[in-house]
Amino acid sequence: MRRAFAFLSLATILGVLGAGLAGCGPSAQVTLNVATAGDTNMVELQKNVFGPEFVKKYPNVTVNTVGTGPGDPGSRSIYDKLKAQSSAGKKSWDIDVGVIHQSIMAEMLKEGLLLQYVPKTTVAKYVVAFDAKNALGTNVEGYVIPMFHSQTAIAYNPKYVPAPPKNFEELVAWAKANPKKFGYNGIKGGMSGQAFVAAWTYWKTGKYDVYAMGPYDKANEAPWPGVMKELKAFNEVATITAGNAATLDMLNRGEIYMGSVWVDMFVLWKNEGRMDPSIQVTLPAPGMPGQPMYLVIPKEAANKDMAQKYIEMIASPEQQAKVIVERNGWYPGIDAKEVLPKVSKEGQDKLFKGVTPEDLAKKGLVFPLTDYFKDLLTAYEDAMK
Amino acid sequence: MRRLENAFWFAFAVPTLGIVLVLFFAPFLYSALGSFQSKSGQLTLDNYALVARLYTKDVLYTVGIATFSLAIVLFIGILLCGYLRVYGNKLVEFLFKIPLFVPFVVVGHAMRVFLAPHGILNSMVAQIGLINLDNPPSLAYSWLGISLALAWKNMAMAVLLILGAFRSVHETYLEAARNFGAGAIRQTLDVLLPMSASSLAVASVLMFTSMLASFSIPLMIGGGKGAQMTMIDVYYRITYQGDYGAANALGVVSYLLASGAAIYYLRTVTRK
Repeated sequence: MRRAFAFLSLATILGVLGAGLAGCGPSAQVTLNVATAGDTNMVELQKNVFGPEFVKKYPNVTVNTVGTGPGDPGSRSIYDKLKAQSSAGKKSWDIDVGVIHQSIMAEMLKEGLLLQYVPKTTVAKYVVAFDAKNALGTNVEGYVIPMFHSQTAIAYNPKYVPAPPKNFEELVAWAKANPKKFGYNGIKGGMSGQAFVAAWTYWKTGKYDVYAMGPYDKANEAPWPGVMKELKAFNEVATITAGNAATLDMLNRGEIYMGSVWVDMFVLWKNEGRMDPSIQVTLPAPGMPGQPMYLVIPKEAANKDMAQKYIEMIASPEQQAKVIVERNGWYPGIDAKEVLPKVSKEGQDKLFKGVTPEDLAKKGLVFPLTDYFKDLLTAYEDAMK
Repeated sequence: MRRLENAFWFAFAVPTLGIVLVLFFAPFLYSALGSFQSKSGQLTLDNYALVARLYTKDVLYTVGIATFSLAIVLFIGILLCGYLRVYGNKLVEFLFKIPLFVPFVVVGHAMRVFLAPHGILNSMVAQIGLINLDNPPSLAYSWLGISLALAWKNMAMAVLLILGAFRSVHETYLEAARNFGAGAIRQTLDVLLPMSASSLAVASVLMFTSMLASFSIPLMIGGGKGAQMTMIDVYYRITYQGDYGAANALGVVSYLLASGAAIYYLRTVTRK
């Protein structure tokens, strides 16, 4: 009886293995694997919008979208996957198109994981933005096309904040007069909080150019302990929320009246009806950081040509106008002069209400160089512990 | 024939053991080793120095929260299971097992909505005028919020384990106690509890270590200010700093805390 049971188990295992192997036959179609960092909205964008649009033109392609998680961690997952395949010496990697953040670019290029594909594309002439060439101090020219730009800003509830702050001095004065009604999420709950800390440092030190353009020199960090001490005092009158979404939640529930947010998340929540429509955004001087999401092709992607065609479609002025600006409320990734004429009046209003193109040109900053940024976050931890 | 059968069962177990070795034990050794290495691969204690400088408070905070939540769980769990063992109540038993089937993230979100400053709890209490919503107290975004959420989530596990232990105590002991006039609480504290001490210790260690390692609940309901749970710090070190060295060091510290608890409890139990 016991033996019969044992052999039966063995037979079951072999059967399962056999069935698994049989399922791995060759496929006639091309499967384009798109891995995207970012929240669920980023996954939906590829799955429901760009994917189907692409398949219309190339019916033999199946677009397989994988979301790797929100924020920088999502980009790191893509890096980890590519690095593992590179280290294993594989010649055909299973990601064809990656959508990633700036912060991972230095490591991506150092490990030689990406293809310098941009000059070969039909959209190369539209790729003109500063951050298409430089990602937090790393030269990325030719490796990336920005899909869109996201920007952090200060959201406020006009019911309680009739005159939004024009600069950080006014913001601090308001926060002191209204204790616990200004919120940001510290540095561990997402990047809108880190953006506020970076902006605070730019404002207090006046050294934006040094931290954003480099070169990296630890001597330039000398003023930080003092700057962080002032931020600690500010934190006493502020609310530190649990994350990007928590700041929006608290604004929406009226628990805070002002907070540091991502503009695109804010616009999306409004579009989905998850946000009090009266809440507005503003960009106080000297400005706050933003960042692009990059479209990249891994060096050994299995379907490089198809990947390039896919990216050319996303970076075309038509798709940028229709999807990036009108549908999602993002700032275009390619030359805005090519995109904006194709955007409706209504779409332009929605995007630029509160934060105008002039604001963006003047006060849309970038994050500090990766080395400065990591040190800055540690300086914050040291001050707050 | 017997030997053949043994050989077969050994072969049968090899894949499972292999998976444990490759997917758990090797990464564990690798990560412990990584905690003593700098980014360039040299042996160093810098990672531990960084953990001591930035995260000592967080480690103590984590132990504090886990201990406090465990105390809540044990207090309620023991009394409740005593009641269920002595009198029995299928409905209550079922209700207390529900958290077992609710994922951590859902618990975190539910508690956040429930305990937020303008959350359901405060809104209800404000209806009867006990608090002022312009300046509401907030259980969410504080250590108490994390503790309550962890306690709620672990309650089901506690009920499952403690009730199992209590049920394995033979009815005759309880009858004897009742003959001497012991009520439900007496029976629980003087008969059931001492007789299931070892199972309770194991249950406590299981819950304590799972609380030390909790991530999604602190992430969702913890505040951004002040001390953080260690797993939040591990996540932050990896994702925002790309610093696996310090993350591994924090991991080793957590591991020592967990195994320390396990060794302490198991020793005191086996000594009896």
